[in-house]
Amino acid sequence: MDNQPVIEIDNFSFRYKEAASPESLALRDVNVKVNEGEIALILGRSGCGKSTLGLAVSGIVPHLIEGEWAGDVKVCGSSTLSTSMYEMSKRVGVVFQDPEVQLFALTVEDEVAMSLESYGLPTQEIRERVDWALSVCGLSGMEMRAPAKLSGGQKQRVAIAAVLARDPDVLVFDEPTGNLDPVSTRSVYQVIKHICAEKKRTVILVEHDLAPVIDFVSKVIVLEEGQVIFEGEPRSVLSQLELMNKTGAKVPVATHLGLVLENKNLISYPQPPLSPEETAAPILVAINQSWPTDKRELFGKSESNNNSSRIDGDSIKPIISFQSVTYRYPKGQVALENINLDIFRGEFVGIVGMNGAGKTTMALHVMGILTPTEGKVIVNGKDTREMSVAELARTVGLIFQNPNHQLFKDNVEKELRFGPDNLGWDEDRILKSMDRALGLVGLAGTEKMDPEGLSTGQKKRVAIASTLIMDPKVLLLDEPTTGQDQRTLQPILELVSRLHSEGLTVLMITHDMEVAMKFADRIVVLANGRMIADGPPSQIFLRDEVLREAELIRPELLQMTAALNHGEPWWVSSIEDLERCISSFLVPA
Amino acid sequence: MLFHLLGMAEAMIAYEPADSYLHRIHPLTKLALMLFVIIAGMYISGPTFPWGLNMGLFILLVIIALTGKIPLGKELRDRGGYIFAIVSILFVGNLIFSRGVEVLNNPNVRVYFKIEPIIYATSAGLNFAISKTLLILSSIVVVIILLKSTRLADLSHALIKIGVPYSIATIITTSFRCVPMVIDGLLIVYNAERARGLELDKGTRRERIRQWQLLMTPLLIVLLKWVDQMTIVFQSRGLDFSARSRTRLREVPFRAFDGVVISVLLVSLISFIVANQLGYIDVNIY
Repeated sequence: MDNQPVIEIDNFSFRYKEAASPESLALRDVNVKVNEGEIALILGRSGCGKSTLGLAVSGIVPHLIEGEWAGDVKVCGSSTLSTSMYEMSKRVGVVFQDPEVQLFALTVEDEVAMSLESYGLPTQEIRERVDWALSVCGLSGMEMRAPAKLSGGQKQRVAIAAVLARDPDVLVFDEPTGNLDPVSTRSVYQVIKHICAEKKRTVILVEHDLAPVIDFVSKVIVLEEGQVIFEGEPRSVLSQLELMNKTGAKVPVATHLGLVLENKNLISYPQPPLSPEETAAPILVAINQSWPTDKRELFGKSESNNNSSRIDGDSIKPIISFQSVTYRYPKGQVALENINLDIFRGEFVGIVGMNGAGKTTMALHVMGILTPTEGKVIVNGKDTREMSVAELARTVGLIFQNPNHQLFKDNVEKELRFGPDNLGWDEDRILKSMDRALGLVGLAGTEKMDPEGLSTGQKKRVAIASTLIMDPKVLLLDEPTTGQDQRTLQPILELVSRLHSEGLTVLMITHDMEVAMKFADRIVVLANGRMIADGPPSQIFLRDEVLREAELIRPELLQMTAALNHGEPWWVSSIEDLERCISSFLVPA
Repeated sequence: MLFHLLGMAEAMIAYEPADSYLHRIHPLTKLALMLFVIIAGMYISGPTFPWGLNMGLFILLVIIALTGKIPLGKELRDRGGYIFAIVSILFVGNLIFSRGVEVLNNPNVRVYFKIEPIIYATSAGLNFAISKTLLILSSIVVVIILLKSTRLADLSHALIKIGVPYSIATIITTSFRCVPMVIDGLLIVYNAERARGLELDKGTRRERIRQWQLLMTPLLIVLLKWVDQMTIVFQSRGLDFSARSRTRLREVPFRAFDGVVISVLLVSLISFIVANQLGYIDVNIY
């Protein structure tokens, strides 16, 4: 039974109705088979057709999203093209990235029951399925809660529960954890794993970050420009680092390290390692289970990132200062509690914490959008309560998580002019600043282009340029890594790093511990509205009690050093440093 | 202000679970009560009609709400300011603009003060203002009773049971879901534009209108995009408006008690209307 294909895609091509040209196919001659119980991971760069493939399996393409197609997609033996959307909904369940657009009802219980009621199932069966789905997703006891009031992770679990309750043969997850913190991500994948183990459902999973999923997927399909360029089992795709780079996927640090060491003939693995333990095991054997010299010396001695560039002359006067700041929502819940924090000019500060910890509330205080219930926020020497919106906009530039939430104009020039127009700048100054800002982000010449037609990475750059044009002293980035593949993300992070090295103060809110560790020279940890730690990454990420209290997961690089040192992590600032240090102790085979 | 009003609307429609007779009775019974209060309340409000009847109705509703575990005190704390503003305007308006030959020529009506020919504050106006204020308060309480003790899904189902098409009932309940969505969209656009120096409350009236336009157009775009995505998700979950038979997770039973209450309300309402038509209800305290 396991070898029965549940999904059969034969020579399927699809072009969106609004595609730029007849040649712009979202999918091109795709041939894929997924057997019952298999979990197929779809990889590829943003815009390569991953989501379209998932939508085609669900029947949404072409039933609800119109376009031209050729070939066929069969699910459980029936063509999706000739099966109604209503019937398809019983066979395929889709979970999208954004939980906000997936929830309709006013209670969790009603949300999960909606489809079942539409199917006309007996009341008793609906009750049993709802209870089961809620319990599997860890939502028992929340039946009467309003979905709109739940955290991001909880909302996504409600969306998953609503799909699971339908008990479809195929589940499609399109970047289901894109907006979630590491712990919520882990909990969502635990649910998916559990379902696959218990119910043997066939799964299509679209994801950029391989670390949380690679150990339970059964096959990997790599797409490039709408075409399948690889199909095989996970370890075989991981062994091809060049192919992985093409996909823009985030390869687990342990796998990357293992493959680099193997390519240098220092270590041999029977198959590509997937976990820190698998990577560490032969290394520990090779060095006889213990590192012969002082660990700090071994791992490069670095106590903190070397990119700290606090500007000395201004160091005694913080550019942002939270002074005993408490913020309560109108209903009384405490969002920030007695925050005392000074940020100095030229610093790169990473603000980390789980969903709902208070990170965004803190950012809104810096922007003056929220004002403290108690205490004060000082920006560039002035209380935000006394600063005009224009003054704040000139001092702090905010880059939103989703560039679509920041760009509303029909061309790049209008987008960039929006801020300066509000500040009342003259035409000459606007044009000069626009040239400078577009040059900084590498988008010179795009002034007349519609932001809607740009790639995600380009949109993000336009968003940054629309902020830089006002020449802010501080750049505030809200979750810059969300929903982006590594090849899109890297140039943006490098741009931010370059702006920082030129003197810009950077505050970055992030769930991505690797990015925080790599780029920030100072980490502020929030938990339940309180600041529980503040220090260089080398201190923060080694402190178990801080990570535990903030419900954070240690960066993969430090999980790797922990595996190399019998559970006790050592600080190392980059994978290159770690690889260099290990290499110095190993003799080529 | 807009955020505040939307937030208030969101809080007002929120169901408050509790174990009470009000939470157990059928949504149709509560709908009938609401219609009764609003229609009958209008019949017993007039410049020459004793306000005591409206006071009696209001007190009865407060008793029903409190014994039914409706958090009236909390509502009053959260929204008391708005309610006070609304009833104050109504009270003053009715007090000083209630007139007419019948009232002004009545020798028993006392005129407290007047600014001819527009403003007459009379004893009849005072009576009418109290009646109308009590009617508005009763209407607010009965709507709170309905929304706080009834899940919208149950209300929608009750509407379907009495013949309202599934599509209409679903649109009504889904539109309630739109309140938090509009708030989220507004916050996104407002924060994005404020971060680039847009000030809504600065400048001349024309500039302010232009600034609001700058906010509203992107908000519309954001909401349309969301609605587009939600439509796709809605249908991909097997939810459409076709006329097939549907079942329910919860069936709120229609008990004999509901039948008795609705019958009493219906008979009372019809009696009111008939009595009014026949002139029996034309009480004149003067």
